[in-house]
Amino acid sequence: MPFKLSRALLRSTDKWRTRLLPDIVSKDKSSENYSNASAMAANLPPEILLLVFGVLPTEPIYDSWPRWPVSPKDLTSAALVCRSWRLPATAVLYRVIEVKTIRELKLLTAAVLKYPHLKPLIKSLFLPLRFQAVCPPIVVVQYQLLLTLLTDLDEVSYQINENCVTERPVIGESSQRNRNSELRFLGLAGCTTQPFNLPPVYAFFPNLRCLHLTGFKLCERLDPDTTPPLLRLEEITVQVDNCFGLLDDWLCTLPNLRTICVAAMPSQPIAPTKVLQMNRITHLELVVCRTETTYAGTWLGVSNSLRILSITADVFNSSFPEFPMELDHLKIWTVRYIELKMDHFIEYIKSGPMIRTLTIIKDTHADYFVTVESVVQKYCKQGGTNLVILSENCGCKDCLQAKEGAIVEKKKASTSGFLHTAASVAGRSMGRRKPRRIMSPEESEIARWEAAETWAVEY
Amino acid sequence: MSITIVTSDNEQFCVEKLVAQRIALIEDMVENAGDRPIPLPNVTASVLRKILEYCEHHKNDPLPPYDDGSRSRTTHISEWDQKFITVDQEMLFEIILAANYLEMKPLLYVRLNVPRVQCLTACNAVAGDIGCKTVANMIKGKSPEEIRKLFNIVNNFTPEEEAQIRKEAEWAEDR
Repeated sequence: MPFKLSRALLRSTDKWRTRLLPDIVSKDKSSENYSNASAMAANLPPEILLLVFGVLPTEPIYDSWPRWPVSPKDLTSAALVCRSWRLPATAVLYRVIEVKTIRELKLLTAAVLKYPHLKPLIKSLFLPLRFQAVCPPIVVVQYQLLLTLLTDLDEVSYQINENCVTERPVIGESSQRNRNSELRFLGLAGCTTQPFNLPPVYAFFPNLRCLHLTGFKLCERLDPDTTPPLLRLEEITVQVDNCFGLLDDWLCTLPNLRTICVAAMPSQPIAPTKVLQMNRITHLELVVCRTETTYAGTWLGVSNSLRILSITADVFNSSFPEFPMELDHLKIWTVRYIELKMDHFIEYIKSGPMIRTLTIIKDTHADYFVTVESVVQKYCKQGGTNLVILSENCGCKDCLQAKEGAIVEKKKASTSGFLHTAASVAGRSMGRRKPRRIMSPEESEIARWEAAETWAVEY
Repeated sequence: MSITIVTSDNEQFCVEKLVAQRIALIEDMVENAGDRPIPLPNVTASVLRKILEYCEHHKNDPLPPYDDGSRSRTTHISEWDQKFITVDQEMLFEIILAANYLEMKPLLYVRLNVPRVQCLTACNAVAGDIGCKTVANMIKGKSPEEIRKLFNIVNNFTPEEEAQIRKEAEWAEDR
């Protein structure tokens, strides 16, 4: 069953995004007195327009982190309204770009080449990823072409293949200064079905704050004596590769590391015990790593500093009763095939753990939870825990079919809804392109790759 | 304790200090003003009345609870706020402009970025941005022509400019 509920490789967190607005802010803060409403809308100061465009309703991209204004259609319309609206709308449109297909990528690259003023507007760029397929060389070349053009990139995710691991990726080369050292977020994908050795990203991007890796295979221990530390790294996520044991010594040399996320393993991953014992990891995320073995003593109960724990239900099921009793936030996903053992969970909640916020995210298959919801609610209230229950689609076939009929549901799907969106967009553009003409070998290679899965592993 | 505010059209308002504290600009000015009235040359009486109504209603709002960002981008507006912001366009823009001038962030906008829990302390000043959200909701789903009509805006683009903007955003045309 395809599903994916770890925060996607691509999403980054907010804490290093200090830039609230692009650099287009009017010099004059005072507002003039406009005689009537018609002049007012056209004459709103750019900073107000940026705020307005920034809160345009969005479709959540990726999973539980729907924070970006990804409503290109509304923003394009706004840019076309009048001259004073154009720049603020373009700035918001270009601030965060999620490219969904190679066709879009080519159009975007062409626009950036033709209109250089767009280059510095792009702060975050999320290129198409197909975790389960080897990225064709032609796509890798396209990605690199665009990346070298961008002069102000803070965040990027893209895919590479085995042949380019030794090449140093370059961001912003053509703008005289290399931007590699300024990159804050990197989501790098290899291929989960044919993983290869991780390129030395720590040497390529020395100031990363957040690193997400999927589809690599670390073969030997990362030696802190020979591996430069990422001194500013705050968060590391690895999907599919059971490598935290090999990373452990190196992770100990990262003074700002607070968050470790591990996802999509066939068994319980080996814990980075040494770094956990240093008591500075405050946030752990353990999702879809199926095991019957308790996490107590491996990942849990080792660090005294743990404040936030995000897990799939299996982690609770296998670890209870040895489960953290004091947390700022406990987030549990209960989804198809990973149901929370309710008798144990109620026993746990009843025992009065000090949890400020409990978030339960259930997919459309977790019907069982409805029957016990009120009991959970009752004990949370007693214990002073703020309970949040979220529903979402898991992205599987049944959900998608159900969703076709019920568009109203769309808004609810925050976590895995992106799967549906990605799938339908990919399907749409594929379908449209197909009948036109015979594809060149290159195009068919791209089309094959685009048709591959966007999630890391099939379950 | 109360504070006197004088608007651009010379009307005086006597405002409870707790209410005035919701307004960053006034809070700053109170320290320097002593007992003298505080002038607000960019705000008219009718707009200030509206703003104070908002402040009065929200004066006891606690700091917003920790939010991990999952709900931060909703365009939800509370029932009271919805009623409050149901005004004509001119007043809507006046409120947005005045809130910006007065640095009333909660009235103006929802923080665009929500820090993670590690930054619990940074959770201040989030509430309504009801003005901007209202305008955003009006724009949503409309064509450029519909937006112009709605706000009575004149299209001042040349055909070449329009063509360029379309070209710039061509990558997003299928969305």
